[in-house]
Amino acid sequence: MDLTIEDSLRLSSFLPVLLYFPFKKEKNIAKQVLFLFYAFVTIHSLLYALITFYFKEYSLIFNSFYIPIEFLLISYFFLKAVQNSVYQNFIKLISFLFIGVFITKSILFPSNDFDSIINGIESIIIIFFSISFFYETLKSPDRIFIDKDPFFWGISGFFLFFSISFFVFLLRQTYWDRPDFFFQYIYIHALSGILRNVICSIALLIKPYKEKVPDFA
Amino acid sequence: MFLLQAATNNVTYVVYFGTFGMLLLAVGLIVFVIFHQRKVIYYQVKMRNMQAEHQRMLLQASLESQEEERQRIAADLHDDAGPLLATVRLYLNENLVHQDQATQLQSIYNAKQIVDETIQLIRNISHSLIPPTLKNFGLESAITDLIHKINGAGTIHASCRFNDYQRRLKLEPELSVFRIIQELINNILKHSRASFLHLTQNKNEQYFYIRIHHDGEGLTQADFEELRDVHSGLGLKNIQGRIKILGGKIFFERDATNTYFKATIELPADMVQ
Repeated sequence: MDLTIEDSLRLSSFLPVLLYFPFKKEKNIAKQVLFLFYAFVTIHSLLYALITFYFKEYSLIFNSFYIPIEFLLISYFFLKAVQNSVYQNFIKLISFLFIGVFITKSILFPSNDFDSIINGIESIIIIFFSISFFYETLKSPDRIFIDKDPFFWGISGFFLFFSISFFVFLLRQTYWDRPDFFFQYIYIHALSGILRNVICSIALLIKPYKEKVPDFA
Repeated sequence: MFLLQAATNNVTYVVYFGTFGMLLLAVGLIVFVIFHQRKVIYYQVKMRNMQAEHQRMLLQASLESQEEERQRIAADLHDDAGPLLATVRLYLNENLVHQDQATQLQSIYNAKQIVDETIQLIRNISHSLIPPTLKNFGLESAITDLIHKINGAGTIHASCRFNDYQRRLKLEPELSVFRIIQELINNILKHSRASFLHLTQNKNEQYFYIRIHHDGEGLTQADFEELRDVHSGLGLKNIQGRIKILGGKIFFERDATNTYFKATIELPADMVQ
């Protein structure tokens, strides 16, 4: 059963990659970055499965590179989504700091285990970026038809994923050995991941609204 | 054993409640953003419809005004010029050659008098379309002329002062401004029961101003906006229409002392020749 829901999560991450190709000609930056993200997730899943099968001892080391690359790709997605230069600079600064913290922690406290602190910080940062994007959306007169904006759907997907997984990420390192938590983690993480993949698939499916909002002033 | 059980339960609760709480907050925020944006779309569509309705009313007012003007000219020509020319025709009919010379001269004299009267009538109609003083000497002279005529009636004391009108406005805006002033003064004469009115003109680098003060019962901005949008009455709609075409603004205010009302026309300074 556990394998089934985790397999569903892996399979659902293929969906955005497949959906990107029919809409490739649109050359929409949001869709391009989402494709890049899911291409990375897919390649990582495949390589991780291979490494786990052939070189199990290196699988955790390989997996530890997932977080910074995932974070950088999501940050790049946010960077392209926001219009305000202050927010953009803020995203760049926070991303730089996060990578700094990740490298420092990896050098000072090397561990092959899942890192709850790094995952927790990543979740908080992405939640904060998402709230900033929504705040900018509410304030911006140009962002009216948000349900036709791939950025909105993509960010909603990431926001939901990191919000739902936040507590299990925080507690995983401490309570991973407990069977009840193990099942909770597997289900919550997989369900939030599937939800993110479905919402990001919607982002790839929708046709962006290009018309400028008329000036009523 | 009990403590371990309690700790395990606590973690389960933390995970369930924490996750559920975060999910609720996230969904709530997304739903709020979507509904807020839908509300914005709704109000923008409503605003666009209101503006379209307002434009339609202005256009209708403009068309009605044109139609009214045409009917007035048609009535003047039909009722005044028509009978005069018919009378001339009577004097100059074919029997005139059979009349004695004195009657012929009398008829020709009468016909000439009527033709002169007709010329004067047509000139008056033409002057009502564009006042010759305005065309030849500009807004200041035309307004001064208008003020003299109002004073001549003796019911109200009218005056005007042009502080900076060395350079005239371009002809079309000048005629529009004249018509707006005419309409405002006409409204004051008809409705305000004022004992005096005073017009001043001023200019700075950005704007050209005309202000009319009077001590009667006047309009505030709210009154103007309310009356302008009602379907009856063309005057205020015409004022608004002309102001909009000129790219200017008009403000109606009550003086702080509650003694005067004032209407201020503000136009971009680039309309000056």
